[in-house]
Amino acid sequence: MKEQYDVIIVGAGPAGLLAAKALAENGFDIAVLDRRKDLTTLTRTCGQSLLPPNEYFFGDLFHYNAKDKRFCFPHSGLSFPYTGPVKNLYTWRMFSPGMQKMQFGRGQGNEGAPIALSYDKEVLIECMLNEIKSDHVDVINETEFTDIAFQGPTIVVQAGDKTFQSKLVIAADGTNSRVVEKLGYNNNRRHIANLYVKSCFVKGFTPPFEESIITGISFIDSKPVYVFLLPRPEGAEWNFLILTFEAGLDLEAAYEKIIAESGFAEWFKGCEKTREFAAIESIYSPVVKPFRNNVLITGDAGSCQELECLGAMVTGWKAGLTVAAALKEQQLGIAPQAIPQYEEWWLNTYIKKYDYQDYLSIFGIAYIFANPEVVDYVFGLMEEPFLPTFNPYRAVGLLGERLQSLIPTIMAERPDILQQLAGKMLMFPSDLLVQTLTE
Amino acid sequence: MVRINTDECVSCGGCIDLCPTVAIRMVDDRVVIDPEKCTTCKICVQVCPLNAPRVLEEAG
Ligand SMILES: Cc1cc2nc3c(=O)[nH]c(=O)nc-3n(C[C@H](O)[C@H](O)[C@H](O)COP(=O)(O)OP(=O)(O)OC[C@H]3O[C@@H](n4cnc5c(N)ncnc54)[C@H](O)[C@@H]3O)c2cc1C
Ligand code: SF4
Ligand code: SF4
Repeated sequence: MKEQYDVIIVGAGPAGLLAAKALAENGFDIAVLDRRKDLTTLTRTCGQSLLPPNEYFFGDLFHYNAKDKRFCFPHSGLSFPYTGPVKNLYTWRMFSPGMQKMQFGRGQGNEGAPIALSYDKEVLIECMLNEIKSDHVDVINETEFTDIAFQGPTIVVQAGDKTFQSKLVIAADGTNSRVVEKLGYNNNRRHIANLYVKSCFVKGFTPPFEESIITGISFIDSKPVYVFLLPRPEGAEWNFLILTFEAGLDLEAAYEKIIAESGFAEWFKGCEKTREFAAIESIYSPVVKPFRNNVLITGDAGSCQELECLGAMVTGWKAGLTVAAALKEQQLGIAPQAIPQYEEWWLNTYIKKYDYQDYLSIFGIAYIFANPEVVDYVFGLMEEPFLPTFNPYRAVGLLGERLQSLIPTIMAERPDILQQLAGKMLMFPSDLLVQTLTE
Repeated sequence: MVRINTDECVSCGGCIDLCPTVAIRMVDDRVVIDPEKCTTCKICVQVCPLNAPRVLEEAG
């Protein structure tokens, strides 16, 4: 292990590892720091479904090349082996507390493009680590970034009692990024909420349909709780996630209630937990200008909530290529182009295109309709399946359109709901979340 | 002070990020609190999705 590198990447998640691949292929000396020891055993919750594979996302059209077992991003010129299992998912069923259902995709057989690809993230990380094996790449585990300082053109990265130096740093340390915090970015971001997550893999969960993503809204002690059930790629296993914005809500108790008393209880009978995970995400408005003091921010570190693994991979790869070009510019004494281009790309491909307010709207539903009976009623009006998607940004657009068209019906049947909604519908979901959670 | 119940903690790392005094660290993929740095603010107790951090009574 050296102390001096061209680039230090903080975080060995999908974003950091693809940034490392780009820089490794360009021959630069790099270190990837991560606080975890065993990088291929995950402990933090992730749905582990790649979405959306049926449309452009972050400027690329991700697909799985089954002939050669490769993940491919044709627009970015990126592809690499993924040797793990996959399963295509075609439908997303979203249930209200009383099991009224909204559905994205028709759920009749496997026609059409899948809306998500279930995969094994631990194999993915292993495959990415293989991609960056090289004499000039050090993956340094058990090394937690603690501070950053600037000495002329040199960046000094502190990781506990270890010190490293580099010319540029890539921050890829995820949604609660300490690099971003230390650089002072969070002072200008809006903190919206924290999201608390408990999840596990379960065997023996038996819904009456296959290859479908199942989500649900529940109210526990009248607090909204979101349930995600995602098929694992093999072994008849499901990934079962419980999410809430409500600090102090007992997720252990919520877990027991959902298994025993919710509308899903029948399908959970006899199921068995195989592994357990958790996550906490501090949700800020995104970083708008991702470069400061020779530190480039990528992946979830710069986003609101999360970019999804696809977004993290595309942005991480792009960040690595950008920094490789920036170093080359420095060597040749050429005026900087690469970093301004990344900033512009981040602005146009992420900030302007994927409004974080839309992402949060999916979670806003329970807060907008505020009680189980109203959620049941509204879901009951939406029997006609939506276009197939699991892209939250797109789904929100489709839902909004449908709700708009249902206003006359609701006005006739339930004017009380419209009255209750009037103020809330005009509010951005992030404002609504802030208001409800701080009340 | 606060201690993490290792039976319940899965090492997701969330509390490390949210601890205001950076008192929590990951050592050998286990999450430990440095008693010197912990101010018993109980933030980790409130945010852990698995109720793993526990407040220990002050001795004496
Ligand atoms: C509940 C939930 C469900 C999700 N479901 C899906 C899904 O179905 N599909 C999908 O595509 N995505 C999903 N995601 C999102 C996905 O997990 C992220 O978007 C993706 O992992 C982001 O990658 P990243 O590389 O930016 O960050 P991360 O994967 O978070 O990687 C950050 C890395 O940095 C390390 N690190 C953190 N702090 C430090 C530090 N101070 N020093 C050193 N190392 C540090 C961490 O150990 C970690 O390895 C979900 C996330 C959550 C929380
Ligand atoms: S938040 Fe809870 S589960 Fe996660 S690391 Fe901290 S104590 Fe462990
Ligand atoms: S009680 Fe407060 S200071 Fe102590 S470890 Fe928990 S969050 Fe950190």
